Amino acid sequence: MLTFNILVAICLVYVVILFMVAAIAEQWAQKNKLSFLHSPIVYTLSISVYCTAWTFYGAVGSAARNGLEFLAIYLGPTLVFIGWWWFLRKLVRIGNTQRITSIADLISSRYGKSNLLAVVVTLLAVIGSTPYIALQLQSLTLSFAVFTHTNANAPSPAITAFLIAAGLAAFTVVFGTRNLDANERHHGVVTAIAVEAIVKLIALLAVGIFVVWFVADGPTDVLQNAEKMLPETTGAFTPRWVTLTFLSATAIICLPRMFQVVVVENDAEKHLATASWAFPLYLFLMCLFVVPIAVTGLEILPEGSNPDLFVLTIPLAMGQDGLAALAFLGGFSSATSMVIVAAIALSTMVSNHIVLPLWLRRAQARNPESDDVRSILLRSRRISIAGILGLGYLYYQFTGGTEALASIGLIAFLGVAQVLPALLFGLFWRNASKWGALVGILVGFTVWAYTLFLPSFDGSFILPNHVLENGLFGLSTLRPQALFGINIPDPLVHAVFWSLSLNTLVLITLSLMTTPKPLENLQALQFINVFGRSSQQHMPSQISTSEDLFVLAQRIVGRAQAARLFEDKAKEQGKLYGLPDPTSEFIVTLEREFAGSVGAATAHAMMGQISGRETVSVEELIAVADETAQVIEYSARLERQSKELAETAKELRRANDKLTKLSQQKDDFLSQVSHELRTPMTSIRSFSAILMSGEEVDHKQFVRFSSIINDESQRLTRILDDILDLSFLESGKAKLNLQHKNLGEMLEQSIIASSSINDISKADIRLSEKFASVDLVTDADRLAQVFINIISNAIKYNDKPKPIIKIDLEEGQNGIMVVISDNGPGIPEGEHEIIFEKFSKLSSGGAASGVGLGLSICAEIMRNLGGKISLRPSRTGATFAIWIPKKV
Amino acid sequence: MSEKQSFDEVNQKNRRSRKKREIALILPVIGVLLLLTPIVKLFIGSTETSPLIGALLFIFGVWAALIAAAFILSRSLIFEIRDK
Repeated sequence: MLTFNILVAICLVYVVILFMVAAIAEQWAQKNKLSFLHSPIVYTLSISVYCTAWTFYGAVGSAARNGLEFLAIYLGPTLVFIGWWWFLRKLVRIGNTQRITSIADLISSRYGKSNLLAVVVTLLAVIGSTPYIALQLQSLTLSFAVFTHTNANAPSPAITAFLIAAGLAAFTVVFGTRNLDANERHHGVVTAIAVEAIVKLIALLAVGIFVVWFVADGPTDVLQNAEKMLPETTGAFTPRWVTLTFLSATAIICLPRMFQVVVVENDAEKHLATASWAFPLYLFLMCLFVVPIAVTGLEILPEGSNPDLFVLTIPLAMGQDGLAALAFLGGFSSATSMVIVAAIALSTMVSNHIVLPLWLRRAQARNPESDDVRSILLRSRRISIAGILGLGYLYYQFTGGTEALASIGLIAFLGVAQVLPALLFGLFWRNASKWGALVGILVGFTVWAYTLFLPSFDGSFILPNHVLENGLFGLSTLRPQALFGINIPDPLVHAVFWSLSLNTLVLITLSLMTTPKPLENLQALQFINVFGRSSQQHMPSQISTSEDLFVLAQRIVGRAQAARLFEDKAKEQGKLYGLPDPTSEFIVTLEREFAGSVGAATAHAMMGQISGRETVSVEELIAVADETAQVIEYSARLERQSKELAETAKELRRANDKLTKLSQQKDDFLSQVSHELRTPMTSIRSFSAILMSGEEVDHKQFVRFSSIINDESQRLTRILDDILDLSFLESGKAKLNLQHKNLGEMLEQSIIASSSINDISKADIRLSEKFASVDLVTDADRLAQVFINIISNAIKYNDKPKPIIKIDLEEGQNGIMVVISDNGPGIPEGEHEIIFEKFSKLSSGGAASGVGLGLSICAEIMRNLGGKISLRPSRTGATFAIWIPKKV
Repeated sequence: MSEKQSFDEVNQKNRRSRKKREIALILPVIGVLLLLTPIVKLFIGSTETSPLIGALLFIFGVWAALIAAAFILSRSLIFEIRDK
């Protein structure tokens, strides 16, 4: 005989095994031995957390009372899973790319990372899940009671429930909040849940096989009995049937714990492919023996036995203690796995969306970097888990054992299902807006509470009986179970219809009326186009230094992971060491990583806080712009390109013009050179011809002619020398002979050198004293050549009786300016431009000899020395400014 | 000639994989039609077996067929998923 003590011992051993499984899985996960943990089978089994104690025990009860109705609860998820390709796949992809941590996070992230929305969904989830947790406590307590009604020493149900709640809280805290994984994945817990899934399936199959082949005489016998024992109406294919299927399909997506295992804990999208048939198969097997167990229980057990406990009581009645213990363990598994996952999911939501934002607001004055976010998160999660289980326990205490609790399962489903319109429209309609979602959820939630939740207490909680019968304020239109006077017999169908249709209506209307913010638009686009080729990753740009980011990252994701993240990024950016640049792409990555720990809204707020702003950049705006805007952007780009082309063409034309001009200049130069050479050649030729003719020339004439020939050939040589010098300088091959030299000395020598060319006796040359203190590193000979040229020009072309030449110094930052001015006739304004050109001889300076290469040579020398010679506008005389760099 | 053939092959492959995806979309619709609408009355009818047993067998039959279809589909669709 199974005693209470043996039962407790079995439970404890079972829990210890679960602990070990979870611990080993955690260790494997850390050592990256993940091949088994990553298998799609573990994923599929973990989804079976859908089958709670309510279904483990309750399905048989439901079959005994209402026929086939219970099947609807399993057909809904089946339909969702076989249609995985168009909905679940998108959901999971979004969950992975956006690092979604919970259903509240998903909704808030989709609608512009709104924390308000996250808080509302979190509260909704807590309100919807608490009765459900209470239901699990009740199932467990009832199943314990089956074994204890003969035992006087057994604790009372209240104490049993309390001990269970406390034990579950401890287990969840230990394995659910051990670490803050970047993706909020819990390998240990998931593996333990998978083990529990196997246990409950085996338990139910074992009881089923026992019932069909050992109690009854095979399937045909059971089916014949079914006709007699089960209710006449099938319960299938009625409005309630459709409603239940719909609700359960919703539950598999919207229930916080289901979202946790299906989306958050998903490692690879392709696991969904396996789950698409394996999970329906699991459900199929869970349901296979429900009807036989119900039928047999009704037949062999005494009238008035609780059909909810047939799974336990049939083996006990047949004296199969071992099988009963296995069945008990199956129920225990169902309840514990549901409570653990629900507590993890809810605590994540509460800590990310309620506790952390509050703390952030309190810490607004401080920097978020200065506190350890991780420890705050972990602590708040642990407290939330205890709090959630506490709430469940309290709820059980107040309503335990009553009808209200038994029927609360479906009621809770509908409460959480209010998230569905916001989720569906959010994934497929880009104009769905934050206010539409928020008000829609609130309206749906209110209608749910008014038409289903509060009436379920039969007038004992908030809504009194007379309101239930006559409507609020006595208005029959507002009768909770017949809104607007429309009579729908089943209160559940009535509530589902009104709450979800009003919810959807409000969502659509408000979405059409409001204009979403850019961030909201951006998120909408990323969600809807999650399968698009490249996810545009425009986000806040250049906001802070990498050091700030690193400190913040350490606090949130832990030192090791932060270091790995930053190292990888630095490597990707091509840096061998040091921190990566805070590019906008990197910041987006970081924000996603943080979102994996603290949720999108909080991560966004933290990044906003560290950057001191929360604006959206132009690129993001372009990314969210609709197609028209994208076309405009595209055509703008085309226009820009064609402008660039035009610009290039213009430049080419300019270059061509320049080349033509240069070629022209070369021709001019050649013709000028030939012309210049021809003049002396002509005189040399004619005078030498006279001398050669042998005619009588007197000595005086002979001397004159031969001196002309000599002068002209000297001039010829000078021209050729100049041309050679110039071309040498222009080609850039001239080697500079750099040396330290005092500028004063250089100028004095130049003045002396000029005197050998001209008669400077009467000239007044005023050399500034300042030059004596200037030292230069330059090619002194070349520079002197420039000075000599300018000074002798100044004397040569001077028409004043007393030429005055002033040489002054102007000092600049990296060079000096030698200014040489004279009191001569100056240079006519129209010829300022051409004096540095080759062969340019001033129209006025006819008297002097020269070929017009001197100043071009000066300009070339200065160019070679890194300086410049220019003509300064002046009222009298000519003023040349020679700029010399301090160092060549 | 051979080029044309390979074009046809690519075309065919594309069409096949598109078809698979389309079947994946249609499968849940078929499920909804069979399990949630009065279409069921066509199958159960008013034979000698009671409506409950008929409905039970029908539901489990459709269910098993859906699982089998999903199994076959998932084996070919799994190759279309490109994980990062």
